Amino acid sequence: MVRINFKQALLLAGSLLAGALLPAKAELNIFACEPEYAALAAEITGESANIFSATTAQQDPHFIQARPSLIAKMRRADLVICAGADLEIGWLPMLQMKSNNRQVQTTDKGLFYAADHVENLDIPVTVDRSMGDVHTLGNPHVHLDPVRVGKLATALTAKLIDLDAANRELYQQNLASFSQRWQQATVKWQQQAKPLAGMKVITYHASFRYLLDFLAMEKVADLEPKPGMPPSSSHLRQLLDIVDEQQVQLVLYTAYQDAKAAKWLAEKAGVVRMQLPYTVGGDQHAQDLFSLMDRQIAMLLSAKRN
Amino acid sequence: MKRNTLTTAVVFAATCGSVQAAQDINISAIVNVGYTEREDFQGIAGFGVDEHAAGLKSGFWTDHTELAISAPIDDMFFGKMTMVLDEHDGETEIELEEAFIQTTGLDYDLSLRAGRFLSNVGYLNGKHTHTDSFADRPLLYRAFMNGHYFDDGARLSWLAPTDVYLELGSELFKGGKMPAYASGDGIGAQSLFVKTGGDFNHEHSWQLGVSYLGFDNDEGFCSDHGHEEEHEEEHHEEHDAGALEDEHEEGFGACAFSGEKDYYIVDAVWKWAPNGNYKYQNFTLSAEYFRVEEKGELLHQEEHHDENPALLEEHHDPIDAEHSGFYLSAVYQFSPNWATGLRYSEIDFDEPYSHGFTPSVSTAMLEYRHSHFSTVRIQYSQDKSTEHLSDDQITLQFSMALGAHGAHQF
Repeated sequence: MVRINFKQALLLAGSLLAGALLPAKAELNIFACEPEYAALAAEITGESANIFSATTAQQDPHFIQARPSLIAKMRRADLVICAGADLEIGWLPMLQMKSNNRQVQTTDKGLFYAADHVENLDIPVTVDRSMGDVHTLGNPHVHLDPVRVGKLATALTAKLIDLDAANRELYQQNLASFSQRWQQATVKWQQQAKPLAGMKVITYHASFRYLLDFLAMEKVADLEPKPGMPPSSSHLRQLLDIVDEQQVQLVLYTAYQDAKAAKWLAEKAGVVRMQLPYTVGGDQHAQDLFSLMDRQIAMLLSAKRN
Repeated sequence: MKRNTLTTAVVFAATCGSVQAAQDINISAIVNVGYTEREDFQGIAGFGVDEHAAGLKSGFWTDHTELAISAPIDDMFFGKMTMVLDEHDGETEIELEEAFIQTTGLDYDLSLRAGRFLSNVGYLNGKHTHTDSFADRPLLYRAFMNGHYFDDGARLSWLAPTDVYLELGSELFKGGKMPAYASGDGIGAQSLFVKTGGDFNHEHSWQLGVSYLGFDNDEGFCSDHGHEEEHEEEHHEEHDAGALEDEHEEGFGACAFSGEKDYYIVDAVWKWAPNGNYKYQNFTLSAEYFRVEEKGELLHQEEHHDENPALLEEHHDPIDAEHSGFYLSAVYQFSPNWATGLRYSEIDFDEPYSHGFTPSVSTAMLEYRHSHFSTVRIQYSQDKSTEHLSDDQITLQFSMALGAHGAHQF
C-alpha cells in the first residue's frame, strides 16, 4: 500500500521536475574524468556540447571522492571520457552505479577510456600488491604524449559521431582542424625538445611517464618508493646517492603531489626541482592542450639552461 | 561444513579470477583482526539488545572478516555477494551479508535492487564497516541497528534530474534480521529515504539525508530468542550474587518488544580537502540523529521472592516510548599515512529502559595506513553504556584489503 502511493508520487514528482528543469536544447552532455579530456572534447565539439570536468589539475585523479555532485553530473551525461586503465577505479564505478545512467556503463555506448585506444607503457608481466599500486593495464597517464593525443582525437571523434550522428560534419571539421594544428605543433615540440634528450630526472610518481618518453628524457627513479606509497626517508637517502651516481639534473613533481620530498632532495643534492603542470589548468599558462605542452617544454628547457 | 562452503567459494572465486573475465569480476577479502581490552558487555542501559550490540569482543577477535564477489552481470544488472565471518557464543559462523542484484540504468532514472542488502537509511548503515574510520560502530548504531541493518528485500530509488544530487528511495524488507523480527512471510520492515548533496566549492562537499525505517516486530518470531533467555538468566544470577535490588540494573531481552517500532533519522556529512585533493589531507565531519518510537507491549519477567524464588512470571506490559540519540564524528587525515578521529555518541532512553540515565561512549582513534589497502588502528573508548560502569576500552585493529580495489561511497 505504502509502496504504490510512494511510487505514484515519485513518478508524478519526477515528470514535473523533468519538465521544469531539463534543458530544451539537445546538447551533448560530456562528463570528463580529468581536465585533459574535457579539453580534448572541447577541441572536437567546438561550442556544441556541455562539458564538465570532474577533477582539476590540483587533484590527484587516483584519489577522488564519489561526491554527490559528481553523481548528479554523471546522471545527465551522454558521454563519459576517462583515462581508464584503472586510474579512476577508486571512484568511477561508484559514480556509474549511483547515476542510474545506462548510457555510461560500458564502452560500447557512452563510455570512452583513453587507455583503450593507444598503446600503454609499462604493462606489468605479473602484478601483486607488494609492488605498490600498479595498474595491470599499464600506465594510464597517456595524455602527455602528443602522438598518442593525436590518435585519441581520432578515436574520440568516432565515438562522438556514434553518439551524435547529426553533428558528424561539425566533428569531422573540428578534428581535421585540430589534427592539422596538433601535427604542426608536435613537429615544433620535437624540434624544441632536442636539447632535453637524455636529460636525467627523478619524478614523484609515473605521472610524467609519457611526456618523458616523448621528449626522450630519462627517468632514473621516483620519489615514491613504490607506486602510490608516499616518499619515505630511507628511500630519499637512497635517491641522494642515485642523484650523485647518475648525474640527475632535475626533480619533477606536480601540483597535486606533496612538494616536501622534492624540496628535501633538491636541497640536499643541489639539483633543480620543478613543479610541472600535469594537465590543463595546472598553472595560468596551461589553458588548453597546446599551451599545456608549450608550457611544459618551456619550463623543462629553462631548467636545462640553469 | 560452513568452513567448506567458504573454501569452495574462495576456490571458485580464484578460478573465476584467473579466466579471461578477470577484468570484470571483482573479488576482495577484508581481513579484520584485532585485540580489545574491555569489561564484559552488560547491555546499553536496560534496552533490549543482543551480543551484536556489544561492539568489539574482549581479547583477540577476527570479526567481520569478509569475502566479497561483485561484477556487472550484463549491461543492465550488477550483482554482489558478501560473506562475513562472525562469532556467536564462541562458534565461528559464516553469514551471508549481501547477495543482491541491482539495475544499472532503468528508464525514468529509476534503480531497483533486490536480494539481501544493507538498508540505505542514515549515513553509516549503507556503508561497509571496513570503510569506517573507527573499529566499531557508534553506540547509536549498536543499540538501534544491531551495528548495521541488512535484510532480504527490495529497493526502488529514483535520482532526480536536477543539477543538485537528490535521491528518493523506498525499501521493503522481510523483517527477518535484527533489529527486525516480523511474523509470517510478508513485509516486516519498510523504509523511505531522501538524500541530497553537493559542493560548496571545489574543496568543500556535503550530503544530507532524512530517512524513515519502520518495523512490525513480534517477539514470537525473534531468531535470537534462544540465547537471549540465557542472557536473562545470567543477569538474574548476577543480581542475586551482588544482591543489587536496584531497578536500574534490570535489562530487557532483545526480543522483549512486540509491536510497531519507527525510526526517524537525519544524517549530515561535510568533507573538506585542500584544493579537493584528498590524498594528503582531508577532514570529515559526520553526524546522525535518531528518534525511535515504540508502540506495543514489552515482555517482562518478574521474580517473586516471597513465593517460589525460582519462579519467573511473564507479564506483557503496554509500552509507548520515545527514544532519541546521536553521534558526532570528526576524522582528520593529516598525511597520506596517518589519520586521527574523535567520536561521541549518546542515547536518551525513555522508561522503562532507563530512569534518567543516559548511556554514552566517547572514542578517540589514531590510524596508520601503510598503503591504500592496509590500516592499523589504535582506539580508545570510554564506554558508559550502563549506569554503574565506566569502561576504558583499548583496541588494536588490523584491517587489510586483499584483491579488488573497491570504489567507496562518499
